[in-house]
Amino acid sequence: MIEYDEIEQRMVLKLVYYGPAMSGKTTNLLQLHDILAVEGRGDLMTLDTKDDRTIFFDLLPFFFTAPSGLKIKVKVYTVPGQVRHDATRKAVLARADGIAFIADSQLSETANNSESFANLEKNLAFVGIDIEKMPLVIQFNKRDLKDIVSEDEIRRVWEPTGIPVFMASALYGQGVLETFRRLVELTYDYIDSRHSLKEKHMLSKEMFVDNLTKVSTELAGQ
Amino acid sequence: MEQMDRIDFSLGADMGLKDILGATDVLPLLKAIVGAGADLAAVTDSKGKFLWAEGNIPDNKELPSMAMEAAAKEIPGKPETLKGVNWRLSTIHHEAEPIGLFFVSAPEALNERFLSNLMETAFAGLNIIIRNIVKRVFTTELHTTVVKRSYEELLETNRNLAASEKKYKELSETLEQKVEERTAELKKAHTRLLQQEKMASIGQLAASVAHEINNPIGFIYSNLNTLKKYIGNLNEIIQFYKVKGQGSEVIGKEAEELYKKLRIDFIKADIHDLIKQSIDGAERIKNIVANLKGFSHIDEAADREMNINAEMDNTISVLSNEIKDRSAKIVKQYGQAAGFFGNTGLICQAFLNILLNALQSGDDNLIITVKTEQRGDNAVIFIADNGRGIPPEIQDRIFEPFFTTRDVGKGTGMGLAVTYDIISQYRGSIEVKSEMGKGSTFVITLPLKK
Repeated sequence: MIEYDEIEQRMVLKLVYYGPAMSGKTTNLLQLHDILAVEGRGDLMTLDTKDDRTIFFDLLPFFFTAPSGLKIKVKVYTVPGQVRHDATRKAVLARADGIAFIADSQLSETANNSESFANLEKNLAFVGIDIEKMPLVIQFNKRDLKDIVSEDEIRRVWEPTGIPVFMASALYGQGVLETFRRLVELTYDYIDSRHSLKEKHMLSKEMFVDNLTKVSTELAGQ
Repeated sequence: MEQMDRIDFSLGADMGLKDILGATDVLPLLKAIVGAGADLAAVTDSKGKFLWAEGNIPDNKELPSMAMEAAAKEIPGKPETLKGVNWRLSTIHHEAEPIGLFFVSAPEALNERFLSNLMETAFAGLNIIIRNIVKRVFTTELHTTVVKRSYEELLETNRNLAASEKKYKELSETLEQKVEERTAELKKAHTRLLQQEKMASIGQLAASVAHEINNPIGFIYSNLNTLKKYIGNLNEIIQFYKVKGQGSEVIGKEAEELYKKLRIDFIKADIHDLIKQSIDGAERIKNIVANLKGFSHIDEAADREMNINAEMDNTISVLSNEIKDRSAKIVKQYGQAAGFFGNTGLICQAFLNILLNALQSGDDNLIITVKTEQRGDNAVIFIADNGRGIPPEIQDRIFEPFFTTRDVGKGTGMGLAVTYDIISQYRGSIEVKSEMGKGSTFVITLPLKK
């Protein structure tokens, strides 16, 4: 549900990192914040307010201007994974333009993963988003740990669905950018088909992806 | 929950500088900068127009063109200082987007290094203010959204509960009514059942009585006719002896006396009446027995499909003389009543008995209304008169065999009983509504062939 203001030449996109509690959604965003160039990227904002109702999410914003002058803001959110924060999840998920589902590879977390994915399906339906059409990638995080689901098993289960699956170890920055890049690519296709980014705004997929995944020169030099 | 889908609770509305900052947030900081020795401190929109400023504010309330040119070249995200000039400019970002400029200028006398430090400190302070406000707005927004959502959900739950409560309330109310209706129906059915049982036992009794009477009355009737013939013969011989004996000296006088003593002349006159009355009586008994036979369906013909309207017409035409004699008027209001399966003779008999009663229900201006209609799988027949009506205390008894209000010998009391029995035989029902002085309506319901 992209926000697009033709007169103001503004477009706001919302990407959401979804998944069970403690699967590494915030770690993904923290790593992106560190990996990506400061230019066009805002600071990571973490909302962690504790009172009678815990509200918690992270926001990593991006901003760039298309050759046509279209200002594009991309907001990457995480949702709280805890079951009791379903209302917050729904609020964050509303009007999302792309979703990265971060699963926990540990065998002990299998049930939580499927419960969270079912919750995602339910909440998407609730906020009126068709999961079939929504840009969606899946990341199996914590590949560095022991007692994890094998990659073969993961591919066997998820490949038939056509949803891109990535192996990651977010804590060490592995697989984080790959996951994000594919999400951004899928999101471009999704938006381009509706708002002709290329034709109207001379914004190619390459430019779009580059703007959002520009690696910090400090890191690149290493 | 469908309603909820339409509620838009998107999070993180896009904000400009003026949405984030207010005069009370910025002015104390700008004042402090000027107080520290600066000439002008200003926060502008991204085009250089002053939003808030302190110190020597230029009349046009815009940044100097030199500063704007520098801002245009500026790399976003990094505070920019322009060497050799006594002013500093930084770009304010919100969510990576440049949304305004922060400008400080100072008299040449002010130490350059001090100005740089002042600018750096002030800009950091401004950014903290912005970040805190944004965070607060976000938190509030999310709080509001979540609370609103929870509230909407509660409202929805409340609506659902209210609806279900209403449903159950209605259900319980109608339940009471339904129980009453059913109870009334059961009572009615029970009464009907009792009535049917009564009728059935009476019917059985009647049938056995009829059977028992049938034989004796048969020979009584036959013997009476024979007796009538014999008496004729005896009369003849008595007459013969009487005529011949008048001339005889021996027995003439004696015979004459005996003839008188035995009142043979009176007997001759009366015996004829006695026999005639006995034969009449026997005939009546025969008729009653014949009715009772019909009542217990001793002789039944085959059933066939019929149109009730046609059979009603037949019945009325059979009664045409009676109708004419009484100058009664028949009003027909026929509806759909085809497709009944039964014995036409019995059905006509059933109608006939009711129509006869109706014809005898009044003396003047008698109007009999015959109405038929189809209700669901039933044919309903109304036969209404505007006669005297049936007294309430005998309404329950009119279908009983031998019950009659007419003088002894004038009615057998079998008419309505036979009707009742025929209608019951076809699993139909008959009811009567009557008001004294206004007339009676018989309502017959007959199930149509499926």
